[in-house]
Amino acid sequence: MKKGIILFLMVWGGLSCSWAQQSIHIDSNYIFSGYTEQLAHFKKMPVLPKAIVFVGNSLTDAGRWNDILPELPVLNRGISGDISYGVLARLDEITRHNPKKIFLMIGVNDLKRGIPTKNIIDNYIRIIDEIRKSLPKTTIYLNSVLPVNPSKLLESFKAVTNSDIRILNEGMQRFSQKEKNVKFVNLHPILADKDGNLRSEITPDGIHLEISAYVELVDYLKKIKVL
Amino acid sequence: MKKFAMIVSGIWFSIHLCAQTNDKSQDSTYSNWYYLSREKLYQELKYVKYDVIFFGNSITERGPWQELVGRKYKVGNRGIGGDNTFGMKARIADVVGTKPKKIFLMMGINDVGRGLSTDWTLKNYEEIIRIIQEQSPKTKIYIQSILPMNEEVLKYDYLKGKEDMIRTLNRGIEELVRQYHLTYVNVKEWLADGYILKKEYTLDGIHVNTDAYIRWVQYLKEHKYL
Repeated sequence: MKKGIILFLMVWGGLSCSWAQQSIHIDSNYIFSGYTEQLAHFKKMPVLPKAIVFVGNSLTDAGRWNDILPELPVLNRGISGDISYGVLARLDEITRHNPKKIFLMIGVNDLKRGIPTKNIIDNYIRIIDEIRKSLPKTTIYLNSVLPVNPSKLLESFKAVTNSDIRILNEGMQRFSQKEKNVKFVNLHPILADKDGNLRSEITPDGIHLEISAYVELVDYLKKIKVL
Repeated sequence: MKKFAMIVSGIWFSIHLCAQTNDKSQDSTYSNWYYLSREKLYQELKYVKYDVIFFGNSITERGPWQELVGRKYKVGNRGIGGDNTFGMKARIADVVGTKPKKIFLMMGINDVGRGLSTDWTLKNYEEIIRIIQEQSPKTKIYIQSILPMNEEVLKYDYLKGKEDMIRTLNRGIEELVRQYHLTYVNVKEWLADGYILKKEYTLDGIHVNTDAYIRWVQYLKEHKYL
Protein backbone atom coordinates (compact mmCIF):
# COMPACT_ATOMS: atom_id res chain seq x y z
CA MET A 1 0.00 0.00 0.00
CA LYS A 2 2.72 2.44 1.02
CA LYS A 3 4.81 1.36 -1.91
CA GLY A 4 1.79 2.05 -4.08
CA ILE A 5 1.54 5.59 -2.82
CA ILE A 6 5.19 6.21 -3.41
CA LEU A 7 5.07 4.72 -6.87
CA PHE A 8 2.11 6.93 -7.59
CA LEU A 9 4.03 9.97 -6.39
CA MET A 10 6.95 9.08 -8.59
CA VAL A 11 4.76 8.57 -11.64
CA TRP A 12 2.87 11.74 -10.83
CA GLY A 13 6.15 13.59 -10.42
CA GLY A 14 7.30 12.38 -13.80
CA LEU A 15 4.01 13.18 -15.52
CA SER A 16 3.69 16.63 -14.06
CA CYS A 17 7.17 17.30 -15.33
CA SER A 18 6.11 16.62 -18.86
CA TRP A 19 2.85 18.52 -18.44
CA ALA A 20 4.35 21.75 -17.29
CA GLN A 21 7.89 22.95 -17.52
CA GLN A 22 7.78 24.94 -14.30
CA SER A 23 6.85 22.00 -12.05
CA ILE A 24 9.73 20.08 -10.50
CA HIS A 25 10.48 16.43 -10.72
CA ILE A 26 10.75 14.82 -7.31
CA ASP A 27 13.11 11.90 -7.04
CA SER A 28 11.48 10.02 -4.21
CA ASN A 29 12.90 6.61 -5.08
CA TYR A 30 14.40 5.19 -1.93
CA ILE A 31 15.08 1.63 -3.00
CA PHE A 32 18.68 0.70 -3.71
CA SER A 33 20.78 -2.33 -2.78
CA GLY A 34 22.00 -0.90 0.55
CA TYR A 35 18.45 -0.12 1.65
CA THR A 36 17.11 -3.54 0.71
CA GLU A 37 19.97 -5.43 2.36
CA GLN A 38 19.91 -3.42 5.56
CA LEU A 39 16.15 -3.67 5.89
CA ALA A 40 16.30 -7.44 5.35
CA HIS A 41 18.93 -7.57 8.10
CA PHE A 42 16.74 -5.57 10.52
CA LYS A 43 13.78 -7.84 9.85
CA LYS A 44 15.80 -10.86 10.94
CA MET A 45 16.65 -9.34 14.31
CA PRO A 46 14.63 -10.36 17.36
CA VAL A 47 11.94 -8.07 18.75
CA LEU A 48 13.27 -5.84 21.50
CA PRO A 49 10.34 -4.71 23.66
CA LYS A 50 10.27 -1.12 24.92
CA ALA A 51 13.19 -0.28 22.72
CA ILE A 52 14.72 3.12 22.22
CA VAL A 53 15.09 3.34 18.48
CA PHE A 54 17.38 5.65 16.55
CA VAL A 55 16.00 6.04 13.03
CA GLY A 56 17.70 7.79 10.17
CA ASN A 57 20.39 7.73 7.50
CA SER A 58 24.17 7.24 7.60
CA LEU A 59 24.45 9.71 10.47
CA THR A 60 22.38 7.36 12.60
CA ASP A 61 23.88 4.20 11.14
CA ALA A 62 27.43 5.28 12.02
CA GLY A 63 26.54 5.91 15.66
CA ARG A 64 27.65 3.21 18.08
CA TRP A 65 24.56 3.80 20.21
CA ASN A 66 24.62 0.35 21.80
CA ASP A 67 28.21 0.68 22.92
CA ILE A 68 27.65 4.14 24.32
CA LEU A 69 24.41 3.16 26.08
CA PRO A 70 24.77 -0.50 27.15
CA GLU A 71 22.34 0.03 30.01
CA LEU A 72 19.44 0.82 27.65
CA PRO A 73 17.56 -1.34 25.11
CA VAL A 74 18.81 0.52 22.06
CA LEU A 75 18.20 -0.25 18.40
CA ASN A 76 20.13 1.36 15.60
CA ARG A 77 17.85 1.71 12.62
CA GLY A 78 19.96 3.90 10.41
CA ILE A 79 20.32 3.13 6.72
CA SER A 80 23.05 4.92 4.90
CA GLY A 81 21.65 7.08 2.09
CA ASP A 82 18.08 6.90 3.30
CA ILE A 83 15.55 9.67 2.68
CA SER A 84 12.26 10.59 4.35
CA TYR A 85 10.31 8.50 1.84
CA GLY A 86 12.47 5.49 2.71
CA VAL A 87 11.79 5.88 6.44
CA LEU A 88 8.07 6.18 5.77
CA ALA A 89 8.15 2.89 3.91
CA ARG A 90 9.88 0.94 6.68
CA LEU A 91 8.05 2.03 9.81
CA ASP A 92 6.59 -1.46 10.31
CA GLU A 93 10.01 -2.79 11.17
CA ILE A 94 10.31 -0.11 13.86
CA THR A 95 6.82 -0.26 15.35
CA ARG A 96 7.02 -4.07 15.74
CA HIS A 97 9.34 -3.50 18.72
CA ASN A 98 6.69 -1.45 20.48
CA PRO A 99 9.32 1.18 21.27
CA LYS A 100 9.24 3.49 24.21
CA LYS A 101 11.05 6.23 22.36
CA ILE A 102 11.88 6.91 18.75
CA PHE A 103 14.59 9.37 17.76
CA LEU A 104 14.26 10.47 14.18
CA MET A 105 16.94 12.29 12.23
CA ILE A 106 16.30 12.37 8.51
CA GLY A 107 16.26 14.83 5.64
CA VAL A 108 19.77 15.69 4.60
CA ASN A 109 19.82 13.19 1.71
CA ASP A 110 16.44 14.53 0.61
CA LEU A 111 18.04 17.97 0.34
CA LYS A 112 20.98 16.48 -1.53
CA ARG A 113 18.52 15.28 -4.17
CA GLY A 114 16.75 18.60 -4.35
CA ILE A 115 13.49 17.46 -2.76
CA PRO A 116 11.69 20.67 -1.70
CA THR A 117 11.65 21.38 2.04
CA LYS A 118 7.86 21.48 2.01
CA ASN A 119 7.69 17.86 0.84
CA ILE A 120 10.20 16.78 3.46
CA ILE A 121 8.23 18.46 6.23
CA ASP A 122 5.04 16.85 4.91
CA ASN A 123 6.83 13.52 5.18
CA TYR A 124 7.79 14.20 8.80
CA ILE A 125 4.10 14.67 9.52
CA ARG A 126 3.19 11.52 7.62
CA ILE A 127 5.86 9.55 9.52
CA ILE A 128 4.51 10.79 12.85
CA ASP A 129 0.89 10.09 11.91
CA GLU A 130 1.85 6.60 10.79
CA ILE A 131 3.71 5.83 14.03
CA ARG A 132 0.87 7.25 16.11
CA LYS A 133 -1.64 4.93 14.52
CA SER A 134 0.01 1.86 16.00
CA LEU A 135 1.86 3.45 18.94
CA PRO A 136 -0.12 6.31 20.48
CA LYS A 137 2.00 6.30 23.64
CA THR A 138 5.46 6.30 22.12
CA THR A 139 7.37 9.54 22.43
CA ILE A 140 8.82 10.69 19.15
CA TYR A 141 11.89 12.87 19.32
CA LEU A 142 12.63 14.84 16.21
CA ASN A 143 16.33 15.47 16.22
CA SER A 144 17.26 18.62 14.38
CA VAL A 145 18.86 17.97 11.01
CA LEU A 146 22.52 18.74 11.65
CA PRO A 147 24.04 21.76 9.97
CA VAL A 148 26.70 21.19 7.35
CA ASN A 149 30.13 22.73 7.20
CA PRO A 150 30.18 24.24 3.70
CA SER A 151 33.96 24.67 3.56
CA LYS A 152 34.51 20.94 4.05
CA LEU A 153 31.60 19.70 1.99
CA LEU A 154 32.21 17.31 -0.90
CA GLU A 155 30.95 18.32 -4.34
CA SER A 156 28.14 15.75 -4.25
CA PHE A 157 26.67 17.36 -1.13
CA LYS A 158 26.97 20.98 -2.27
CA ALA A 159 23.20 21.13 -2.84
CA VAL A 160 22.72 20.87 0.92
CA THR A 161 22.57 24.30 2.53
CA ASN A 162 22.19 25.44 6.09
CA SER A 163 19.36 27.75 5.11
CA ASP A 164 17.30 24.77 3.88
CA ILE A 165 18.24 22.85 7.01
CA ARG A 166 16.97 25.76 9.07
CA ILE A 167 13.62 25.60 7.25
CA LEU A 168 13.33 21.89 8.08
CA ASN A 169 14.20 22.42 11.72
CA GLU A 170 11.84 25.35 12.10
CA GLY A 171 9.12 23.23 10.51
CA MET A 172 9.73 20.41 12.98
CA GLN A 173 9.82 22.79 15.91
CA ARG A 174 6.57 24.45 14.83
CA PHE A 175 4.44 21.34 14.59
CA SER A 176 6.05 19.55 17.53
CA GLN A 177 4.72 22.32 19.78
CA LYS A 178 1.19 21.45 18.76
CA GLU A 179 1.57 17.69 19.01
CA LYS A 180 1.41 15.57 22.10
CA ASN A 181 4.29 13.09 22.55
CA VAL A 182 6.35 14.76 19.86
CA LYS A 183 9.40 16.68 20.93
CA PHE A 184 11.89 18.66 18.92
CA VAL A 185 15.50 18.14 20.00
CA ASN A 186 17.75 20.92 18.87
CA LEU A 187 21.28 19.56 18.54
CA HIS A 188 22.75 22.80 17.25
CA PRO A 189 23.85 24.01 20.71
CA ILE A 190 26.47 21.26 20.90
CA LEU A 191 27.26 20.42 17.28
CA ALA A 192 27.24 23.83 15.58
CA ASP A 193 29.90 26.52 15.82
CA LYS A 194 29.18 30.21 16.39
CA ASP A 195 28.46 30.71 12.69
CA GLY A 196 25.91 27.91 12.69
CA ASN A 197 28.08 25.46 10.76
CA LEU A 198 28.85 21.89 11.80
CA ARG A 199 31.90 22.14 14.08
CA SER A 200 34.94 21.53 11.95
CA GLU A 201 36.81 19.37 14.45
CA ILE A 202 34.05 16.75 14.71
CA THR A 203 33.38 16.21 11.02
CA PRO A 204 35.58 14.53 8.42
CA ASP A 205 33.60 15.74 5.39
CA GLY A 206 31.37 18.60 6.49
CA ILE A 207 28.29 16.43 6.91
CA HIS A 208 29.10 13.23 8.84
CA LEU A 209 30.35 13.00 12.42
CA GLU A 210 33.53 11.46 13.76
CA ILE A 211 32.36 8.35 15.57
CA SER A 212 33.77 9.58 18.86
CA ALA A 213 31.53 12.68 18.59
CA TYR A 214 28.48 10.53 19.26
CA VAL A 215 29.56 10.25 22.88
CA GLU A 216 29.11 13.98 23.24
CA LEU A 217 25.79 13.82 21.44
CA VAL A 218 24.49 11.11 23.77
CA ASP A 219 25.76 13.02 26.81
CA TYR A 220 23.74 15.98 25.62
CA LEU A 221 20.59 13.87 25.18
CA LYS A 222 21.05 12.70 28.76
CA LYS A 223 21.66 16.22 29.99
CA ILE A 224 18.44 17.53 28.50
CA LYS A 225 16.72 14.45 29.94
CA VAL A 226 15.39 12.90 26.77
CA LEU A 227 17.42 9.75 27.40
CA MET B 1 49.18 14.37 -25.43
CA LYS B 2 47.16 11.18 -25.26
CA LYS B 3 50.32 9.11 -25.53
CA PHE B 4 51.86 11.02 -22.69
CA ALA B 5 48.81 10.36 -20.55
CA MET B 6 49.01 6.68 -21.38
CA ILE B 7 52.65 6.51 -20.41
CA VAL B 8 51.94 8.26 -17.14
CA SER B 9 49.06 5.98 -16.33
CA GLY B 10 51.19 3.01 -17.36
CA ILE B 11 53.89 4.00 -14.92
CA TRP B 12 51.31 4.70 -12.26
CA PHE B 13 49.74 1.32 -12.87
CA SER B 14 53.02 -0.57 -12.57
CA ILE B 15 53.92 1.27 -9.37
CA HIS B 16 50.49 0.44 -8.05
CA LEU B 17 50.84 -3.19 -9.07
CA CYS B 18 54.25 -3.32 -7.47
CA ALA B 19 52.85 -1.96 -4.23
CA GLN B 20 50.10 -4.55 -4.26
CA THR B 21 52.39 -7.49 -4.69
CA ASN B 22 54.79 -6.07 -2.14
CA ASP B 23 55.68 -8.55 0.56
CA LYS B 24 53.96 -7.40 3.75
CA SER B 25 55.02 -10.33 5.87
CA GLN B 26 57.36 -8.13 7.92
CA ASP B 27 54.86 -5.33 8.35
CA SER B 28 53.65 -5.18 11.94
CA THR B 29 52.10 -1.70 11.72
CA TYR B 30 48.45 -1.28 12.63
CA SER B 31 47.73 2.41 12.84
CA ASN B 32 45.58 3.98 10.14
CA TRP B 33 42.72 6.50 10.09
CA TYR B 34 40.13 3.78 10.64
CA TYR B 35 41.95 2.27 13.60
CA LEU B 36 42.49 5.70 15.13
CA SER B 37 38.86 6.80 14.73
CA ARG B 38 37.61 3.62 16.46
CA GLU B 39 40.28 3.74 19.11
CA LYS B 40 39.36 7.33 19.87
CA LEU B 41 35.76 6.25 20.49
CA TYR B 42 36.85 3.29 22.60
CA GLN B 43 39.08 5.54 24.66
CA GLU B 44 36.11 7.81 25.35
CA LEU B 45 34.16 4.75 26.47
CA LYS B 46 36.99 3.38 28.57
CA TYR B 47 35.02 3.60 31.82
CA VAL B 48 31.77 2.18 30.53
CA LYS B 49 30.86 -1.07 32.31
CA TYR B 50 29.96 -4.08 30.21
CA ASP B 51 29.26 -7.68 31.24
CA VAL B 52 30.42 -9.11 27.96
CA ILE B 53 32.86 -7.78 25.40
CA PHE B 54 33.40 -8.96 21.85
CA PHE B 55 36.94 -8.15 20.80
CA GLY B 56 38.47 -8.49 17.36
CA ASN B 57 38.56 -7.22 13.78
CA SER B 58 35.86 -6.45 11.20
CA ILE B 59 34.11 -9.77 11.74
CA THR B 60 33.55 -8.71 15.34
CA GLU B 61 32.88 -5.05 14.59
CA ARG B 62 30.09 -5.86 12.13
CA GLY B 63 28.33 -8.25 14.49
CA PRO B 64 24.92 -7.16 15.82
CA TRP B 65 25.86 -8.67 19.18
CA GLN B 66 23.73 -6.47 21.39
CA GLU B 67 20.57 -7.17 19.46
CA LEU B 68 21.18 -10.89 19.23
CA VAL B 69 22.40 -11.47 22.77
CA GLY B 70 19.46 -9.55 24.21
CA ARG B 71 19.09 -7.81 27.54
CA LYS B 72 20.55 -10.49 29.78
CA TYR B 73 24.01 -8.93 29.50
CA LYS B 74 25.37 -5.48 28.85
CA VAL B 75 27.37 -6.07 25.71
CA GLY B 76 30.22 -4.03 24.28
CA ASN B 77 31.63 -4.32 20.77
CA ARG B 78 35.35 -3.69 20.54
CA GLY B 79 36.03 -4.75 17.00
CA ILE B 80 38.14 -2.69 14.62
CA GLY B 81 37.96 -3.50 10.94
CA GLY B 82 41.35 -4.46 9.52
CA ASP B 83 43.01 -4.82 12.90
CA ASN B 84 45.84 -7.31 13.35
CA THR B 85 47.14 -8.86 16.56
CA PHE B 86 49.71 -6.08 17.00
CA GLY B 87 46.95 -3.47 16.99
CA MET B 88 44.92 -5.61 19.36
CA LYS B 89 47.77 -6.08 21.77
CA ALA B 90 48.16 -2.31 21.92
CA ARG B 91 44.55 -1.74 22.99
CA ILE B 92 43.54 -4.80 25.02
CA ALA B 93 44.52 -3.42 28.45
CA ASP B 94 42.01 -0.56 28.21
CA VAL B 95 39.31 -2.87 26.89
CA VAL B 96 39.39 -4.97 30.07
CA GLY B 97 39.98 -1.99 32.36
CA THR B 98 36.41 -2.10 33.70
CA LYS B 99 36.70 -5.84 34.34
CA PRO B 100 33.97 -7.42 32.23
CA LYS B 101 32.64 -10.85 33.23
CA LYS B 102 33.40 -12.38 29.87
CA ILE B 103 35.43 -11.55 26.81
CA PHE B 104 35.13 -13.23 23.42
CA LEU B 105 38.21 -12.99 21.24
CA MET B 106 38.46 -13.53 17.51
CA MET B 107 41.76 -12.49 16.06
CA GLY B 108 44.28 -13.28 13.40
CA ILE B 109 42.76 -13.24 9.92
CA ASN B 110 44.36 -9.90 9.05
CA ASP B 111 47.74 -11.27 10.15
CA VAL B 112 47.09 -14.08 7.69
CA GLY B 113 46.22 -11.53 5.01
CA ARG B 114 49.62 -9.93 5.36
CA GLY B 115 51.36 -13.24 5.62
CA LEU B 116 52.79 -12.41 9.06
CA SER B 117 54.61 -15.30 10.65
CA THR B 118 52.24 -17.52 12.61
CA ASP B 119 54.80 -17.51 15.42
CA TRP B 120 54.39 -13.75 15.76
CA THR B 121 50.62 -14.00 15.75
CA LEU B 122 50.59 -16.72 18.40
CA LYS B 123 53.06 -14.78 20.50
CA ASN B 124 50.75 -11.76 20.37
CA TYR B 125 47.84 -14.01 21.19
CA GLU B 126 49.61 -15.24 24.27
CA GLU B 127 50.54 -11.73 25.37
CA ILE B 128 46.94 -10.60 24.92
CA ILE B 129 45.77 -13.48 27.13
CA ARG B 130 48.36 -12.57 29.75
CA ILE B 131 47.40 -8.91 29.74
CA ILE B 132 43.74 -9.81 30.26
CA GLN B 133 44.58 -12.20 33.10
CA GLU B 134 46.78 -9.62 34.73
CA GLN B 135 44.40 -6.67 34.40
CA SER B 136 41.24 -8.55 35.14
CA PRO B 137 41.88 -12.00 36.60
CA LYS B 138 38.19 -12.80 37.04
CA THR B 139 37.25 -12.18 33.42
CA LYS B 140 36.39 -15.42 31.70
CA ILE B 141 38.21 -15.67 28.39
CA TYR B 142 36.55 -17.31 25.39
CA ILE B 143 38.87 -17.96 22.48
CA GLN B 144 37.02 -18.28 19.21
CA SER B 145 38.56 -20.21 16.34
CA ILE B 146 39.61 -18.20 13.33
CA LEU B 147 36.90 -18.69 10.73
CA PRO B 148 37.88 -20.55 7.59
CA MET B 149 37.40 -18.80 4.24
CA ASN B 150 35.50 -19.81 1.16
CA GLU B 151 38.00 -19.62 -1.69
CA GLU B 152 35.32 -20.07 -4.31
CA VAL B 153 33.74 -16.72 -3.51
CA LEU B 154 36.80 -15.07 -1.97
CA LYS B 155 37.25 -11.57 -3.33
CA TYR B 156 40.68 -10.77 -1.91
CA ASP B 157 43.76 -12.11 -3.65
CA TYR B 158 45.96 -11.53 -0.63
CA LEU B 159 44.02 -14.20 1.25
CA LYS B 160 43.98 -16.84 -1.45
CA GLY B 161 45.77 -20.12 -0.82
CA LYS B 162 46.25 -19.37 2.88
CA GLU B 163 44.07 -22.06 4.41
CA ASP B 164 47.14 -23.76 5.84
CA MET B 165 48.04 -20.66 7.83
CA ILE B 166 44.58 -20.61 9.39
CA ARG B 167 44.89 -24.29 10.26
CA THR B 168 48.29 -23.70 11.87
CA LEU B 169 46.97 -20.74 13.84
CA ASN B 170 43.92 -22.62 15.06
CA ARG B 171 46.14 -25.48 16.25
CA GLY B 172 48.33 -22.98 18.09
CA ILE B 173 45.28 -21.28 19.56
CA GLU B 174 43.94 -24.59 20.85
CA GLU B 175 47.30 -25.22 22.46
CA LEU B 176 47.13 -21.84 24.24
CA VAL B 177 43.62 -22.65 25.41
CA ARG B 178 44.93 -25.80 27.12
CA GLN B 179 47.97 -24.07 28.54
CA TYR B 180 46.03 -21.15 30.04
CA HIS B 181 42.87 -23.13 30.93
CA LEU B 182 40.56 -21.06 28.77
CA THR B 183 37.36 -21.92 26.93
CA TYR B 184 37.67 -22.73 23.25
CA VAL B 185 34.71 -21.68 21.15
CA ASN B 186 34.76 -23.67 17.97
CA VAL B 187 32.43 -21.47 15.94
CA LYS B 188 33.64 -22.96 12.70
CA GLU B 189 31.94 -26.18 13.69
CA TRP B 190 28.64 -24.52 12.81
CA LEU B 191 29.64 -21.92 10.25
CA ALA B 192 31.93 -24.03 8.09
CA ASP B 193 32.09 -27.41 6.44
CA GLY B 194 35.47 -28.66 7.50
CA TYR B 195 37.74 -25.79 6.50
CA ILE B 196 35.36 -24.10 4.09
CA LEU B 197 33.13 -21.28 5.26
CA LYS B 198 29.59 -22.17 4.23
CA LYS B 199 28.55 -20.37 1.07
CA GLU B 200 25.19 -19.31 2.46
CA TYR B 201 26.94 -17.42 5.25
CA THR B 202 29.28 -15.25 3.22
CA LEU B 203 29.25 -12.81 0.34
CA ASP B 204 32.96 -12.22 -0.05
CA GLY B 205 34.43 -15.45 1.27
CA ILE B 206 35.62 -14.03 4.60
CA HIS B 207 33.01 -11.79 6.22
CA VAL B 208 29.79 -13.32 7.43
CA ASN B 209 26.17 -12.30 6.98
CA THR B 210 23.19 -11.83 9.28
CA ASP B 211 22.21 -15.52 9.18
CA ALA B 212 25.72 -16.46 10.28
CA TYR B 213 25.66 -14.08 13.24
CA ILE B 214 22.29 -15.46 14.29
CA ARG B 215 23.69 -19.00 14.15
CA TRP B 216 26.84 -17.90 15.96
CA VAL B 217 25.01 -16.36 18.91
CA GLN B 218 22.71 -19.36 19.00
CA TYR B 219 25.84 -21.52 19.31
CA LEU B 220 27.13 -19.41 22.20
CA LYS B 221 23.80 -19.64 23.97
CA GLU B 222 23.39 -23.37 23.43
CA HIS B 223 26.82 -23.99 24.89
CA LYS B 224 25.91 -21.78 27.86
CA TYR B 225 28.70 -19.35 27.10
CA LEU B 226 26.04 -16.64 27.15
